[in-house]
Amino acid sequence: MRTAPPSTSDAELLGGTRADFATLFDRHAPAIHRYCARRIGPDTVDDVVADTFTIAYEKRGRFDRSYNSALPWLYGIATNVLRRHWLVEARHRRQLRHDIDLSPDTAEQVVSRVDAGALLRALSGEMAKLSRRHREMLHLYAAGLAYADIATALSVPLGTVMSGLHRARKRLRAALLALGIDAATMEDLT
Amino acid sequence: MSDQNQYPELDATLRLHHDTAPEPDLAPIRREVLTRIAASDHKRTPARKLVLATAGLAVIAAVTTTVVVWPDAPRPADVAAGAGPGAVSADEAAIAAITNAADLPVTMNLLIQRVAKAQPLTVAQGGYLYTSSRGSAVRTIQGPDGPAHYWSDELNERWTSITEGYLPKFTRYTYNVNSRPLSEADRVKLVKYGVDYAKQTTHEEDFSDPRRTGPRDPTPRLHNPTPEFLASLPRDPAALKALLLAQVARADQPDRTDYLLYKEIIGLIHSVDALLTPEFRAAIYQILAETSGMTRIPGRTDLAGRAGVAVARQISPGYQAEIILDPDTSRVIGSRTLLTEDRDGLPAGMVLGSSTTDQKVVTKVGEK
Repeated sequence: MRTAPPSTSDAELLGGTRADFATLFDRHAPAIHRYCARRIGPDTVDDVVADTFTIAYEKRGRFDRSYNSALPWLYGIATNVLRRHWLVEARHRRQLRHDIDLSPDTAEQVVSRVDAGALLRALSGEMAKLSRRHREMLHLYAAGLAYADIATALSVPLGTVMSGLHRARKRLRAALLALGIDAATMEDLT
Repeated sequence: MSDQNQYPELDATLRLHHDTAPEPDLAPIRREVLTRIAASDHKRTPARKLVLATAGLAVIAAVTTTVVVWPDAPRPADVAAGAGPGAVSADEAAIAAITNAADLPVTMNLLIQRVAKAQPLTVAQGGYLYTSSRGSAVRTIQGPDGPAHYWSDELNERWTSITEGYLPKFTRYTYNVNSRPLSEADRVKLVKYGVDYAKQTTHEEDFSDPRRTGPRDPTPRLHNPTPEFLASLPRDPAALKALLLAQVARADQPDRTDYLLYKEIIGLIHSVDALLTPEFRAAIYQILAETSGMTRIPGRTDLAGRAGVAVARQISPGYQAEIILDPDTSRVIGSRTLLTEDRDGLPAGMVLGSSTTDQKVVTKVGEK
């Protein structure tokens, strides 16, 4: 995780008062919101984040206190909530595809004109074409979660995450390459 | 399989993508969560199980409501009973024949016989195609008393230059149109959760600035068709299918070829249905009829008050997409998505979403 170790553990906050839960919200809501915003777009994301923390409060007794951070657990809840909004997510992905519309026959043009914004739009568009499970893994990976934390969040074996991320990144890289966005271009722009 | 350092530039791009999400205003969400969990704590009484059971019933009631919105399609015999021999015109007889057709090839063949009624819109040089789609979907909000469901419509409007293709010049999306809870119990919960389901929002986007939209290839093609491009495509179904397969087939996913072909055709129909010539429509309907995985939903299917016939395909486990075709004109009326298995507390058969689309030619962006 990229966040600094907190002075009060997440497990203690989850076992405490509503004020403690508010502290947990302040600690992790920015990350959860970023993850959800990338998945579902701006119109529904606030509802998804509110639902995620409401459910977390309701189910806080189920949190495995052997974990230092509640973030993977919260990502798992958010992922489940997002699945309930799959129609909205599908619309968001369709919108991404419409807005981007980079196709392989424009590869040469893209190489010469691509900028960071176009690169990120292309990435969004290609991620939208992956399977839901691969998208979930990639978004969690991009959020900085370790493989083991992604496995916890998605309730799948570690090996599934490792093989899934390998395939997803390989496919994503090939798709970007087909658009004329190679490793050097990405390196220049990030 | 450890490849965490195999794609460092891709990993950096993924992190950049994640980190550049817009900065949220978390204060309203925080207030919302604290209000909900305070309400949740006050609910922690021995009656809680009863409350949850009531929430469960609300879902069932919601399903009933949905079925009323889109009632089960009448059986062919019911439809035929309304069209007695000798009492109908040739048109009515043809429509009844399509409605009562038992399988997909027969349905599509009968529709193909009526494609002449779906003449393309007359397009003027420099004109715009205005596409208006209205969709409905079930939205679910989680809260301390369980899920609350409401229907919400959205209106998508899109202006495209006819001579330049289907890439948008301007879009307007209006959300939460005519939102309504599925039941009184849902309404009570939504109010309690502080969800302003009736708040309508509009998002407009102008694509005239290339710095905002990024590079867009203006070349006419399947994903950016113009009338001239459509006119250049083969009318022979076999030749057209070969051309489409060359676009969509993937060597690494041979078992998905027919699904990708279906997606390509549906995408084309949805984007420029009003520009398709009868000959081209006949060819793509012929291809659809021969695509594996397609089925005919028996009888008549009503969509937003318009009667049609549905052809369907499973799009993922538990989910079925339907395209609704007008048996009179052969045009596409719209689409809908249904559950074929119980999911997330909702039963098989429930309609999760639907949309209808209309297109017309206008003289400038914004006109409709």
